[in-house]
Amino acid sequence: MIEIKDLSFRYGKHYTVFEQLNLNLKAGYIYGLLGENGVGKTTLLRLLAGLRFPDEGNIHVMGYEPRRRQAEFLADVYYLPEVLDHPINISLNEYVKLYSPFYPRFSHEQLAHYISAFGINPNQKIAKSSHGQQKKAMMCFALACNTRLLLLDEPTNGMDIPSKGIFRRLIASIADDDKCILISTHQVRDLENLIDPIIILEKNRILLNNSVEEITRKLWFGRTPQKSDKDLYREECVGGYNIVGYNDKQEESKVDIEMLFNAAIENKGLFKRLFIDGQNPESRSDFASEMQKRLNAESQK
Amino acid sequence: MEFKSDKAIFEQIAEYVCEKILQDDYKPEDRIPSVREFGATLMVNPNTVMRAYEHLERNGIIYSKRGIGFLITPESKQKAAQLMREDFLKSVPAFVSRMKLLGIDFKDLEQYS
Amino acid sequence: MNKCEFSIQRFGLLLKTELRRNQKGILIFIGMILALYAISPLGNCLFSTGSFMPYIGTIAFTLPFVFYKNLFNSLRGVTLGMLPASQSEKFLVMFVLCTLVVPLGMLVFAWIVSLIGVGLTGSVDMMFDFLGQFKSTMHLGFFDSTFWSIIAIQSISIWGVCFFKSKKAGKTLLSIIGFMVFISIVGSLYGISHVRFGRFPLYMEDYNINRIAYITDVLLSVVLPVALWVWGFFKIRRQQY
Repeated sequence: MIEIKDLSFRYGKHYTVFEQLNLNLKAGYIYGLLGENGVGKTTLLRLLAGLRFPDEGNIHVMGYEPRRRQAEFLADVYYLPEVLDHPINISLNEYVKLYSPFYPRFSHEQLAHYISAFGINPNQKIAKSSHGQQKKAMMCFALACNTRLLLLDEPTNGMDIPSKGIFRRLIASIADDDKCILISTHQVRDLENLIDPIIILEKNRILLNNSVEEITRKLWFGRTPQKSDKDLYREECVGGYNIVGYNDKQEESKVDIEMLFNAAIENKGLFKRLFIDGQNPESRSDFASEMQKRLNAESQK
Repeated sequence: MEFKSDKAIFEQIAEYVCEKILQDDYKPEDRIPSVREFGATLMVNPNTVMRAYEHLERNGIIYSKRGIGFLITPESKQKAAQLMREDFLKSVPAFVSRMKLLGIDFKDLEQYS
Repeated sequence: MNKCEFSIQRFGLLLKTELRRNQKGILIFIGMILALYAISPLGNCLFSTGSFMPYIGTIAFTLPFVFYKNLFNSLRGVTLGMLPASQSEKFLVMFVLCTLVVPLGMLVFAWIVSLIGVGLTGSVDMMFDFLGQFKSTMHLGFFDSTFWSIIAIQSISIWGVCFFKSKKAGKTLLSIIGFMVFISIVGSLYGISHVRFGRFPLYMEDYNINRIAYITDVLLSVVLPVALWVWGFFKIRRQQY
C-alpha cells in the first residue's frame, strides 16, 4: 500500500528530517507510529498526503505518487492533522454537505453512527464547540469518508477519557482488509491494544516496524524479582522489576507499549538490527555471557 | 473489558471465550461475534482477535464456516476445560512456592474446598 | 474510476463549494456596490459616468487575497489542499470564481441596480452601460476595455496568491512596485515615450502610437496577464504546505 524508498527530506538546507529512509506499509492493518517529539512523525504523514515533497527518493501510495496530488488519490486519502484547519464557522452537517460529495465512498449511515457514538451535536457551529468536541466532529467526518488510507496525527490529543475509548472502538470497527490506518502519537497508553503493527521512528531511521506477534516472539514483557544484565529496559516496581528482555523461553507476554518504546530508545542500534535487519537474539545467550565472565576473571588474576 | 498486564491479550480473549463456554453462555453451534465486531466491543485490534480465534480453532474449540463466521464446536466444553486447566496448572508452581514461603500447609487449604 | 486531470462534474462541484465557502465575502462585496450606489449623488451617478469602475477594479484586485488568503497555509490550507480535485481544477475554479464570476456578477448587479434607479427616477442618465465595459475604441479593442483592464490587474493578485506562501498581499504589492521600477528604467533606457498597462499609465508622456509603444502595450496589457495566469497554474503544483 505504501512504499517509501530512500526518502530524504530537509527543511531548508540544514535541518535534515529523513535520510535514505525506507518503510513499507500494508493494507489491512492499524499502524501505530511512535517517536519522540520532533523526530518527523507529522512530516512523514504530510509527505504521504502529498502536502510536502521528498527531496530525494520516492513514495508510492496505492500506486500513486502523492506529490502529484491527483484527484483520484486524494479521494482515497484522509489526513486529519493534529491542529485542525480552523475556525470552521459552519456546523458538521453543513460541512458534510459541502465536502462529502468529493469522497465517493462517503457513508452517511456511518456518519450518523459516529455522531451518536461520540455524542456530538451536528448542528452546532464547529468553531463554537470545545477543542475536544471539534476533534470528535472532524473524526466523524474522517471515518465516514471510508478512504483506503487514513492518516491520523495525534487523534486523541484533547479528547476526554470516555471519548478515547469510543475512538478505539470506532477504529477497531472500521478496520478492514482494504484499509490502512496510520496513527501517529505519543499518547501510547490511549492506543494500547489497538495498534498492531508498531512503528518506532527515530532520527533518520526506523527502529521497529513489526506486528505485536513478531515483537512478542523476540521480546518478553513482564515482572521479574531480580534484575539481569540482559534486560533491555527495566523499571523498579513493587516486588521487583518490570522488564523488557529477550524471549529466551519463548513465552507469550503482553506488550507494554510504553516499556517497548523506552526499550527501543535505550537500545536503538540493537532494535534496528533485531527487527529491521532481522538478526537473531540468540547472539546474547547465557553461555556467551558466562564465557565472558570467566575470561574477565582469568584476565584479572 | 479490562485486560491484565501479565498475559498476552489474545490469550486473555481466548480465555474469555472459554469461560463463556464453560458457563454455558456459548453453546455448541452458536455463532460468536466476527473478528471486527469483537474487536470493536473489546476496543482491540481485530488482528488480535484473529489470533485468539486461531488459537481456539487449533484447540478444537471453535471452527469457521464460510459465509457465516466462527461457530462453537460440539466438543468445545471439554476442550475449553482442558485448555483452561493446562493454563491454570502453569500458575501452580508459583502458588506453591509462595505457600512454602509463608509456611502454609496443604492441610490449611482444605477449608476452602 | 479513470485517472483524469479534468472532470466537469468535479469542477462544477468544486466551484459550488468555493462559492459557498466564500459567500460571506461575496455578499459583502455586493453590499459595497449597493453602498456606493446609495452614496453617489443623484444626477452625477457614479454608475452612469463609469467612474465607479475603479472601485470595482479595487474589489476585483483584493478578491483573491480575501478568498485565498490561506492557500498553502500549513494549518489553514490543509482542507482545500487535500480536497479531492486535481491541481488544474483547483486553479481553474479559483480563476473562474475570481476573474469571471465575481467581476461579471458585480457588473450585472450594478446594471440591475441602475435599471431600478432609472425606473424609479425616470432619468436615463442613471443607466449603467454594461456592454460598454467590454468594448473600446482604442486600438487593442477588447483588450483595451474596462473589463479586461480589471481582470488584467487582477491577474497580478492571482499570481501573488499562487506564488507566495504567506503574507501574499504585502509581497505582491512589493513585487508590483519592483516591477514598475524595472519597467520605468527599461522604458527610459530605450526612450519609449509611452508605457501603458491596461488603463493605468505607468508614466505620463504624450500618447504617441509608434511601433515600440504598440509592442509594449500588447506585452503588458495582453501577454503579461495571460502569462501570470499560466505561471500561477503551474506554480500551485510546486507549492508545499
